[in-house]
Amino acid sequence: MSVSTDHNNPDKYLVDRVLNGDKQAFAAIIHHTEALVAQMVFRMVPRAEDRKDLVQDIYIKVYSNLQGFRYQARLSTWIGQITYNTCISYLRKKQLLLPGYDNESSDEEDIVSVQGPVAVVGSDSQLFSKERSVILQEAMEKLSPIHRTLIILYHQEEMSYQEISVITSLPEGTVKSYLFRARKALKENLLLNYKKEEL
Amino acid sequence: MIGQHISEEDIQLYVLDANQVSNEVTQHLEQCAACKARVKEYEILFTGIGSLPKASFDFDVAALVLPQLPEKKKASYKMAGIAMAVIVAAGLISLPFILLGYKVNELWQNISPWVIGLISVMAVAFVGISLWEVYDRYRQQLKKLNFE
Repeated sequence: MSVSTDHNNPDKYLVDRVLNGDKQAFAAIIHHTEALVAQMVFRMVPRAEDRKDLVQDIYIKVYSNLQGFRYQARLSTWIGQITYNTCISYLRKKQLLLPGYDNESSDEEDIVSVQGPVAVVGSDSQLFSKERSVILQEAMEKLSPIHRTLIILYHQEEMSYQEISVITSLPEGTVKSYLFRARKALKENLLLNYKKEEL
Repeated sequence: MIGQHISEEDIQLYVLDANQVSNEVTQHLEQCAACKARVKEYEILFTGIGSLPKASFDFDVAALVLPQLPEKKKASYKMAGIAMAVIVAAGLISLPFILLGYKVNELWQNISPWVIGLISVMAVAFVGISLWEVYDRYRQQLKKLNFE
């Protein structure tokens, strides 16, 4: 059964249908939001075998708490918030969260798990000339899960600082600050890896 | 024009939105090859991030989740339950007045205002504490669900 979203407020339309017992409407919500959930879960949860359980957990939480959704943000943002909190709990439980990330401030060293000296800047054409996607992926892996997620939400999902702030429950200034340091660390790691590869 | 090189923050800001930086920064960038190169690095980085393959699940999420969903009680049943509870509570409170009638009225007249005041304060305190406990339990449930 297909669910039409041709409505003034598709979020409300779908939520109302789910609350009236229409599980296919919930399937439509899953289809609309699973891309965002996947982006976040993949960036925050390193173990592939845990992701399936987490996704299930996330959507059951969404379903169980849908009645409490107050349309103060988009439904996808609210689901993003549940995803983020569930992943943070997972990281805490597995002790994969670096110290300092629960708070607003963190040291520069905490941004990446491996950080070497800053390399001499190469020319732009050289930087991503070969296997740039692989090099960039590797540099992303060195970022902490939270910084990686912020980078993806901002640069790939094209979310605003405000939306990211809602999802992560971090103040907007903190989101900006984390993103600034993450981009800087990412660039420095990229340059460093690039130089290593050249040598 | 700014004599010193532009800060890393301004370089990022410029690449994200050139309108957000001051004219001095823009002027410096027009004439400084080193800062231009730093701008280019970020431009390449941001393009690179944007072009990375997006993550996606290799299983059908809806097919996985839908059979696991708990059965929901319809809101109308909940409302009916609450309404019933209110009616029963009202009935229980008014029962002594209905059964004993004027005797209860006399009883209230014989009790001193101090005792009535004391009973009222205790009743309000009891209701307040009960409500707080309900709220606290609600907060704890939210915490368990990671909404706080």
